[in-house]
Amino acid sequence: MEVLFFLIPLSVALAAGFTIACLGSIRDGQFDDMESPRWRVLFDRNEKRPESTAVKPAATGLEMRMKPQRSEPL
Amino acid sequence: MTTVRFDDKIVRMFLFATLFWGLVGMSVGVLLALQLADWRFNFEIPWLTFGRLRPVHTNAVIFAFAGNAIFCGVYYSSQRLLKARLFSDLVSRIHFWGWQLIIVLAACSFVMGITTGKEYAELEWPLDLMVAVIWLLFAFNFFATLARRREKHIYVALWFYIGTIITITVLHVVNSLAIPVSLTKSYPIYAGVQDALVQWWYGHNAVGFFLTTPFLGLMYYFVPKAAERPIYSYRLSIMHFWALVFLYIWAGPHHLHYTALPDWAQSLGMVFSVMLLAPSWGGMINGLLTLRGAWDRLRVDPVLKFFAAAITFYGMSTFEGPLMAIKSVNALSHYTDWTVGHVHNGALGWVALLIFGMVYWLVPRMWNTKLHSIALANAHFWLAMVGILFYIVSMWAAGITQGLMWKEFTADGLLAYPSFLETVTKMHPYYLGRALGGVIFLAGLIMLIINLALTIRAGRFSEGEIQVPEPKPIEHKPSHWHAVLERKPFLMAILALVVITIGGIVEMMPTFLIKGNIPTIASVKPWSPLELEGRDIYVREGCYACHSQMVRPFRDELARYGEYSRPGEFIYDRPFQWGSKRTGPDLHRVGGRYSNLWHLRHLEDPRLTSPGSVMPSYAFLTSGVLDLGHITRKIQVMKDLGAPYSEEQVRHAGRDAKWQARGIADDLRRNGVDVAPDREIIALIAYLQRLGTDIKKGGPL
Ligand code: HEC
Repeated sequence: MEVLFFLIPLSVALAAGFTIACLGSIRDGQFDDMESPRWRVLFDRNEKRPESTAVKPAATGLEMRMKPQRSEPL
Repeated sequence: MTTVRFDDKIVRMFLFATLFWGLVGMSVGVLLALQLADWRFNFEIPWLTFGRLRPVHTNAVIFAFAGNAIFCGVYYSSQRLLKARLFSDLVSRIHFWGWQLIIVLAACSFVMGITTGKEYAELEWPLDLMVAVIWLLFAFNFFATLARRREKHIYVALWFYIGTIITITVLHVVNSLAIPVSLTKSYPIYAGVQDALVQWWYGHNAVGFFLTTPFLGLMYYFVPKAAERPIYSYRLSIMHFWALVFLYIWAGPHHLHYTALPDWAQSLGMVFSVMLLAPSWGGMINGLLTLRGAWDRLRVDPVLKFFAAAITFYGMSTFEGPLMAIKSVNALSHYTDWTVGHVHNGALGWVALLIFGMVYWLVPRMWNTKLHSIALANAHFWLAMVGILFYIVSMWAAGITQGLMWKEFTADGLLAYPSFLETVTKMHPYYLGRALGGVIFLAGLIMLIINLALTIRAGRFSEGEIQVPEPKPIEHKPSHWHAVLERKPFLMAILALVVITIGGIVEMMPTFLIKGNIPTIASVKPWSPLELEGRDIYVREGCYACHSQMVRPFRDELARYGEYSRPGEFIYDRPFQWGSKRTGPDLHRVGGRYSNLWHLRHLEDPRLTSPGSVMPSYAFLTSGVLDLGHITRKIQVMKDLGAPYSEEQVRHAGRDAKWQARGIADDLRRNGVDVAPDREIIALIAYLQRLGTDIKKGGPL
């Protein structure tokens, strides 16, 4: 049972590490912009590699599809 | 503008390894499922007996299949998200080959019976060290790439990877601390209850941080990519991450409900487990809603089908988990096959389906072609669904049936099924159903491999390239070291963690280890040398894969097994062998229940004493000669770890063992069976006969 006196501080240390990371990154401005990062992942249009998927043969035009097709609740 | 070329060759290597080990791991799983339906599927080869093979299956699926898939997906997505090539090609290669070497050595060592006997951490110490080194190399490669990124924002997937890397490092190190006896045997520094706590703190978090967080990271990258829609709510995904890492580490005690663990710790584990539902379902909803606007494509795109199903199964298992963590549910579900069903709900439904979706998406892209056959992929999808259905429904039915039968009393207050065997034979149809489900799922995987092989043959592999504006990564103006650290939150987090952890370990370790070993029950004594050898054989053969050693304080368990287990009874158990599943009955109170002769006959051929038993035959233990070569060292290590052996006992350990073995052999001879006293089976019988008997010798409890 005494091992709890070790595991609990260890878990607290882990949680503290994550807290520091969380606060640090908030201060760093990591989470200021909650809008553009979700779009940016989709734009690697300049990755060179002929795009061809199972469903849509060899169409690039990712940018075109990025235009919201329906009204987008954000 | 400069060109950055991504290291996609390493992604390809990990991708192939994923598929290969997936095939191996699942095939072994099917074999094990068949063994529980009919024991003869071990072909009477010791290497293939259930107890030895089960760690091969669990480790192959978790660390080889899922592990390689994590590395594959993390390396692919991180390079794109960070707009940087992986830090070092060499480190990546060492990472790859090191990991595969570990897997091969692990599989060989498990079938040879080299194991620590701790579930999901069965690797012996040399392999544990290798894992630590390779994992740290992976961490180094990842963080060094992160430091060279050309994108200031750390995308949410990367946070999940960071959480995974840090936590797994800590878990692995803490749970693996052991004192070596030889190259292939060690005793953990924790004993009994302590060992159980550390093990399940590890076990639960390994599920959380090896099978959940990395795959959530992959989900947050690959699902938007495949759907070509952004994440539904980025804010929710960030909250998902932080809430998950804060809540997860406290839920471990739910594996130890109604055991010797203090009540408050059990309740803590239960409360946090239930709380986990919130972030998990937040994440599930976020993932599913990302597909909103792409629902029509779900019909035609197998990748999205796999993703949608995987996320749904994530939701199902994160609902089932908290449910099973509630003590009153756990009273019924624990030790039954329901747990096995729950695990596969997550492993097949969430992890495997997500991996399938990911590789179906990756391969056509990396090989610049179209998927060979969408129809085949769709067929795979439906096979996977049917396979999982068979599996999970069988296990639910089996688990609930077992749980109810074990607990059933007649009107006269007697156990309705006093013979455990009855509950074993009842499982037969469910075990067949499970095996069928496994075969179907495996057939689906084979279809995937064929489909991808044909795709690859038609395509041409190339590495991705991007144009980046400046030659150098983004600048952090370094001034004061602290200011630098503050701008690198992850570095700061790691440093803080390392400092606190080291400090904690150094300070706490000796205290808790010594305190925990003070005998609280006077009549509980350390194992005799022969019993210790027998116990090591019990661990080697993986008897814990089918037997628990923890009688819980329930009416039915008291009636079936005897006195419930006290924490003080386990202080010399390294490793603890409480087990997690009762395919066979609990063994904690088996000592003295049967004669030596009964054990001999039962172990040699369980069907002799228990017709219909699925326990493997252990006749090879009668021909196996007990190796007493390390006995002095073993007793010495136990003594160093706090067991009260005298110098005399250490020195004469071998002699004492032989003397006790002769006694058992003599008893067997008196009953008409000749077994040489130097056989392994004698040691095992000595151990079984001692199990749980000490408290009967009187003294206060
Ligand atoms: C595949 C699962 C499986 C494995 C592995 C296994 N057993 Fe069993 N065991 C059973 C089942 C099922 C029973 C109940 C039927 C019977 O008596 O054979 C049982 C019964 C027993 C019993 C009788 C318990 C009682 O109270 O009646 C003992 C003792 C035992 N096993 C010892 C062992 C030992 C020692 C090992 C490892 C060398 C082992 N078992 C490995 C499944 C297993």
